[in-house]
Amino acid sequence: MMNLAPSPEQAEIAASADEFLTKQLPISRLRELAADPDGDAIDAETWRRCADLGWLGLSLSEDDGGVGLGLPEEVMLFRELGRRLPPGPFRSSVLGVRVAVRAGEDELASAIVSGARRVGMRVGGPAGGLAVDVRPGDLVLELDASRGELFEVAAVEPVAGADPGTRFARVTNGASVARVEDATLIDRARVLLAAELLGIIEAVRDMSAAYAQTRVQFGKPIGAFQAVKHRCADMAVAAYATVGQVFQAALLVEAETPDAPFHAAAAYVIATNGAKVSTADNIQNHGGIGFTWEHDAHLFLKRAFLLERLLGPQRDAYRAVLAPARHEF
Amino acid sequence: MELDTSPELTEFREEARTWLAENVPTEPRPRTGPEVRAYDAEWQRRQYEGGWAGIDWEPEYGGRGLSLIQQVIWYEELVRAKAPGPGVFAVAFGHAGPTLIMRGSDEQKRDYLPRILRGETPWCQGFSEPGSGSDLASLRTRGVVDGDELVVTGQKIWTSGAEHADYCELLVRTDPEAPRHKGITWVIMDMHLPGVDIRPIIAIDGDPHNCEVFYDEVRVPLANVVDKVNNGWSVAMSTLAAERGPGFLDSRLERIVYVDELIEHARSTGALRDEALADRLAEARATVAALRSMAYYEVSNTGKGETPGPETTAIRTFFVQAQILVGRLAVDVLGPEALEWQPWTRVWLEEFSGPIAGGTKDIQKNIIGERVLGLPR
Repeated sequence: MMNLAPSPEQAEIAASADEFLTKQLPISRLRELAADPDGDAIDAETWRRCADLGWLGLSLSEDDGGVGLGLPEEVMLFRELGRRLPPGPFRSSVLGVRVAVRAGEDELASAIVSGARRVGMRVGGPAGGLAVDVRPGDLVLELDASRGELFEVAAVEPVAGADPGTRFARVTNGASVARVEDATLIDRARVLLAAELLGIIEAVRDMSAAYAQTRVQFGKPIGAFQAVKHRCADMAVAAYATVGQVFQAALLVEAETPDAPFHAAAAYVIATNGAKVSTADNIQNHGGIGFTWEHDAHLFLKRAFLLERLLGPQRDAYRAVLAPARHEF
Repeated sequence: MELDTSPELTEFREEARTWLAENVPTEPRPRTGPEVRAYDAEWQRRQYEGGWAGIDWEPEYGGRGLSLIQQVIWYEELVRAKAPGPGVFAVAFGHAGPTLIMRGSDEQKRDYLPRILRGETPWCQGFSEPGSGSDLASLRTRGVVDGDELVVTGQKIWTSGAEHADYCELLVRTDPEAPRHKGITWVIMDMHLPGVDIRPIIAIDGDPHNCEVFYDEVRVPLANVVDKVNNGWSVAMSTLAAERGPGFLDSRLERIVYVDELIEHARSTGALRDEALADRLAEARATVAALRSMAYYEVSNTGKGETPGPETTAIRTFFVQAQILVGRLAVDVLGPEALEWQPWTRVWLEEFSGPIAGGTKDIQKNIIGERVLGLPR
């Protein structure tokens, strides 16, 4: 049994993240970066401040240079990252430092957790040539169902990508610097991505509701029309259906219970589907303005699109959902 | 957010699991006829004698007064044990009981609650009318005060289980001149009184799931009015608010076991090798898992004695969508075999009632849009 209401301490993590992101990394910053493809995704000073806030080591023990909390607290942070879409290799660095710690590479781990070295991520596991958030001198994380591995980067060839808040590149691996056989890494990755997707669903729900209250056609706010109202309601339903499953999965993965892989994959599937529909409906709700580059709607659509593909085919998550003989109570 | 590994809850789950293992009826529930009531009454009586009736009711009303978390555990264990649901007692436990506890007089509580707990009196819900479905407040069944009686004339429809019920939670219009929400009365109708005419309606699956009920100058004591004459709309809102708690959780969690059966079947027949079907089964399993975590999330955010807020309407909306999805998936798992009439074919059809009964999916989405997201009416 579990309590899924965030504690005051957990809520404080979200509140302080929200405050920091609003001031330091507003969505306008993402747009500036998108306009400068050669620029750094996030400047060294801001990245170091995020590291100082403990964001890269929330779930690591204090002995390992972390804050000594767990995946539930990390989920509170990543939900805010999903809502605000800050650029920067947050998820890959958080997962990467864990690989370093588990592999016993303490120096590497402290370099990552302090913000001195950044970790990008190979798209879709080892097979892909594409990676996100990797610059020369960074590390690249490869993740599959049983393994996590960090490589130095031998070559980086930037390419245009689908998500303006993310740097894409064709990356050639250099030496392997940390490798760990650990089937729980993919569970953590799924939960973190699900938390980001939850934040995205909530953000577009609020964006659509606000617009539907103020945009007037035929003499009334368009939210009075059932077609629009119901698309907004669908987003609220998707958010409510996702939040509990993400929180539950975070607790179970942290506790390494036998049903944790199932619940983590279920959270990722629910979040992915909810975000896919909600981000598309959000564009429809905004009409013409929702189709423009100027409006933020496409940024949420594209981030959800990235998160849907980043860990490889959705079918991998489906198989993890089907793996147990039964849903255990 | 934290795991609760307290020994009290573990012991409680063990107690529930042990009792259910020894007491869940092994014979299948009949679908129609008077045997239905007898079967449900026997199962209800057994739960009462085992101390498991009215788990959410306070002890002063003869219930067990369990915490919300314990209620969730009980429903999980019911489902895990494949126990029958409340059946013809669903309205009595989920609606009438909670409404009487919130709004009834002391005498009404003394009179009706113990009989509900013992599984003696099935209730039905007389809200909808032929002209008043989603627009419930337009109802026209008349209630005329005559001395110390209320004389009821009119027609109700979609009354589930009316043919099994002893009592009905009936909404009647007692003041046709008043604004429409102000002239309604919530009254306890004895279904065996002269002038009550019950006609079952054969549903999409060939079974009589609900009834038309005609009331022809039926005389009910005014003492049967719950709260006050003309204050029935507010009482009805209490009735519907009772739906938002974990009370009907077992019917939602049942889908977890059902989807597991579908996966098991698809595995045994080889249908699971169809990648597209396997994907859908995975989506369905994730969807019904979310039904469970939504319940945890709801009770974690609801204090003792609090009524869950309108945002929890999302649970029902998500559930009825899941019903349709899973019902259809079952016949797709069967493939061509589903053309031969069989249980999963019936379930596929039965599930169509989900997004209609008790407030359509469309009305639920209006509620979410207006009361949760602040959109205009």
